[in-house]
Amino acid sequence: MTILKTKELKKCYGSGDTAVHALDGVNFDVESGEFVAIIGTSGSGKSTLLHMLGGLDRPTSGSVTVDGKEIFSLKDEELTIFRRRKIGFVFQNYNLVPVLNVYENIVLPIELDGKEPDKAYVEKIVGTLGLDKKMLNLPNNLSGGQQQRVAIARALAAKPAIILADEPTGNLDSKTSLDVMGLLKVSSLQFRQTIIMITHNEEIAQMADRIIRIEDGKITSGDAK
Amino acid sequence: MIKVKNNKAIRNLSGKSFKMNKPRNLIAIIAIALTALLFTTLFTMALGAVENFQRATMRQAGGDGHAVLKYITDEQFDRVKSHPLIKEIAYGRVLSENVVNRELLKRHAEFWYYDDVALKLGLIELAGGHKPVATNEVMADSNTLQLLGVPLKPGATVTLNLDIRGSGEVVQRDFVLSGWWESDPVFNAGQILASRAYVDAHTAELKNTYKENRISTGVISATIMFGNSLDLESKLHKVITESGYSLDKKAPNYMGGNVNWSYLSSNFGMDPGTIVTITSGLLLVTFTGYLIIYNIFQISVIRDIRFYGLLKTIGTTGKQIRRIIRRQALILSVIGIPIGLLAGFFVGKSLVPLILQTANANTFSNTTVTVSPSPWIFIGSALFALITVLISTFKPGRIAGAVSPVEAVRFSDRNVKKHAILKKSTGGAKMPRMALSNLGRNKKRTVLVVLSLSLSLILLNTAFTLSRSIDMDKYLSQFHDTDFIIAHAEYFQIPYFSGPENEVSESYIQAVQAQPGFEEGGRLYGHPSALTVDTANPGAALIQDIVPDAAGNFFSDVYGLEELPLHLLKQIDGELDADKLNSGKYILEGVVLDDNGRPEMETANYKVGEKVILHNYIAPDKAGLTKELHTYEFTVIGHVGIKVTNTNRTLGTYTFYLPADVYKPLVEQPAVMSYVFNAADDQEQAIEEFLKGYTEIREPVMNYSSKLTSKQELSGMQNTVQMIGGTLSIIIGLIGILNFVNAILTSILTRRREFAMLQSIGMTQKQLRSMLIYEGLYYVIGTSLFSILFGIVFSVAVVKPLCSMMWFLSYQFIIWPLLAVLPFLLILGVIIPLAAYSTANRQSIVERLREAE
Repeated sequence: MTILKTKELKKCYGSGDTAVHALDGVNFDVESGEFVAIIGTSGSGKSTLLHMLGGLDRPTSGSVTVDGKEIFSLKDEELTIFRRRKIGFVFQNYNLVPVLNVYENIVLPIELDGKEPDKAYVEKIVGTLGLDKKMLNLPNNLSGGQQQRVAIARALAAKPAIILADEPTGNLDSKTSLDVMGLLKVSSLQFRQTIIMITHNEEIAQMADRIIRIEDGKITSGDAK
Repeated sequence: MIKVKNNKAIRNLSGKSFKMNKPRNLIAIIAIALTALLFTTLFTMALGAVENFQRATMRQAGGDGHAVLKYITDEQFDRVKSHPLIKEIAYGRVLSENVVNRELLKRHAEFWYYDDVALKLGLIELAGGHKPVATNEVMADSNTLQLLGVPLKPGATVTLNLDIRGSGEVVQRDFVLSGWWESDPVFNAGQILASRAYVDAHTAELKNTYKENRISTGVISATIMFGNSLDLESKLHKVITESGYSLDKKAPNYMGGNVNWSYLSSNFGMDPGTIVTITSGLLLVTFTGYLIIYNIFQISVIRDIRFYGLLKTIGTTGKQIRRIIRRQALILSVIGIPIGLLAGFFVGKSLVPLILQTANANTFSNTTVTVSPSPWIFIGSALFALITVLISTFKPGRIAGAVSPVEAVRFSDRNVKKHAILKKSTGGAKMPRMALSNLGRNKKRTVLVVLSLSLSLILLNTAFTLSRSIDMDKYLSQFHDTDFIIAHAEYFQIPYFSGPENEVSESYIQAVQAQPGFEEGGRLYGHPSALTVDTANPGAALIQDIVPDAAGNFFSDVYGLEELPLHLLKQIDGELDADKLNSGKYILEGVVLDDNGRPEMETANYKVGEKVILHNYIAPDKAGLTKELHTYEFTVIGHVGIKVTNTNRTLGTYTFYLPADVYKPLVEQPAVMSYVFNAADDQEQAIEEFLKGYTEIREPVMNYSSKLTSKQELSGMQNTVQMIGGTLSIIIGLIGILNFVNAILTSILTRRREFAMLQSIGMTQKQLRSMLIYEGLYYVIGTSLFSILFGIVFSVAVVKPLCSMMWFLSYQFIIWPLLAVLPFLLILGVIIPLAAYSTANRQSIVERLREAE
């Protein structure tokens, strides 16, 4: 089942001679449960692509369909609500809320949606990610790797259709990076979670099921399954 | 240490980072301006009040000369006038002992000659016409002319009845009005000034015989201005002795003189009360200013901490960083302080008349109060404002200077405090809980904002508490037992009631009794020199200090009261039995009451039951004891309070009260001192107007005093307290609100990325806004709780004792002014976060997410 589909996705910054085509006609599909890595150099347009996929930014033209929904047909507030139900984010710099403890951070998207968190499910995620001893800690007292695991837990907890991970290991040393990647991989398998990760690190990318390469706003390889 | 020329670099850095901080600069400038405004207002009010008091006392003292030589002759004047210490000397000469025109009974007028210097020092500026030149020309002040019925037009005839030598021999002289000036309300007397030619034409009657018979006609008053007002006393002594005269009163060449007491008093014009008030005002303003300026710089330093860390990394010393911050503070002060000074001067200027009116309702009414822009106001305010700024930026500068380059990267608004590791809650993702946690991030700032908002609320409440505590009844009861009191004009002011010559006319009383709405009234009889206390039975009085009359007895004030005033006497002990009193065997003794109405029993001379023996007064100059000495014996039946309303407004050793019918036969000529009466409530105003008209036209020598006018005076005072307190709390409130805005705005600015992240994981705009509103509301709730709690404590612990110190205040606990402002604060608590959010969050989520990277 195709969970994500992009069609002729274009994003243009500026206009005329100075126009920069960050994305120049991107087409690809992602199947449910797949772990996809998008790899590209700095300035290749991979972050822009991720923002488009997450509905954080609107494309100049083209469409993104998540779980059968054309996301840019939604209004801003609808998009936000769609995002918190269907998309989980993992950022390079974790982006945890400093005033909330680990548990509160994890359930935040669920509570933002006005729902009761599924305690058993959360506990399962936490157990998988090895955070069960840290539930009441505030983010600032955790190491980078631990913070990123909290971010992953947060992304998983809402049972989204896709998790978008933006350089999730960018701030971590190589050993911790491998740990985190391992956990992502495990999560993908255990919770049948679709994950799209962008990275510039070839080694990290290798851990994914599939690699899509992007250069100058275009997909150069890997669009076929 | 090596001195390096790095000023230029520091200046450059300071300037550049200054420009980066536009919103902070704006808020800081407003804050500094408001602080300067508060200081200027305070100084203007303080100096303005002192200045106007001084001017008023000067005018009461008869001008702003430094000293005056009294009762001198032309010859003496000529010998003194060229003394080198004298800068200016004025020549004023008394032309008549009395001006006895009937119209001038209520407001006496003096008849003088003034030379030009005297006119200048006497603050006389012609409003029309010219100075008198011809022998028959005079000029006068407008009130005097109005009383005389002379139109304010040069050429009009002025007829004066002059008792020139004070002998009772009156001559009538006609003059032509040459000019006039506006009366100064502080003068209780009018002035009529004649020409030099008049003086020259009447040298005989103007002969100075003061030394022989104390007649002041013809004497010269020479007002002197020295180079400055320092050490006036010794300068005056020098002038007198070096001119060949003596300071010894018994010496034949004695010359009298005194320095202007308004200058003397101005040196000690600041009594402890004023100093305490001004000092606490200064402290309050400094603290208020500190609250906000400190907050602004603290926030801005923490926000720029990475920048300072960076500067540290490349070798900027902590000292230099402190200088960068100090420099920025100075630039902001240079802009903010002048704005505040100017605004503050005008605010203060508009408040000064209010203060003065309250302080002295009579002296200043209708007076144009001037406030001159003294450089001291500006220098002082600027200095204090600058000190406040420097104090406020000291600590933020230290923080910025002490930051370690490594820590700077991690140091941010969100984790100033490190000790919180765990948070044992699981419900924090709800908006209200999250907002609460957010405020907890910087507890110090939250406290500062709450404190600065509360300060103005508490001040407002205090102002209202004070004004509401003004006890109308208590105040009025001091001066009024009844709605109205009518008497001869002299009863109400110096020289006061003295007997049959200034008693209340029966026609006046009858006119009043005939008024619709008149309810009940009663006469008070008295005659200060009608009865004496027997020398053999003086009671507890210290008789060695009292001068006895020709028969050796002591003066006593005995009043005969008709039924109404008798009933109104405040009984202290004994009994107030009307039947017993009317029997003629008993008498009541008066006891002085303090400001709070408590009797001072030591002023009683007799105990209840003791005997008092009264005699009729024997005047010493009336041929010895030819008159029969009557003796009356009474028993003191009780003590009652002496009040303004039941005396002739002077106080002797002995004061007694009798029923009018018992009193009248005792004295030769019973005189009606005053007549008190009550009116129906709905007719009070009408009767007031009747009295006003009657005493102006029908019987101008009569006057009245009413509860109504005193009430109006007092409510004016009430308004003033509210006005001044209100103005100050509005300004302090503005500072509080500014602080609030600043706190909210910076907290939103510093969390832009956090908000973007929250939005990226699915927080809607609506949720975000509601979280911010909760944050705003928590400030409001915190402020409400704190100000109500502390307001109550302050009211009870500080305002209440303060009220008990002033006799006309009865403390009343009120909190409603504070509560009334809270809804307004609530609205601000909602609007400010929303407005701040919409100005700060224009960029898209992606842009904001990237910002930090």
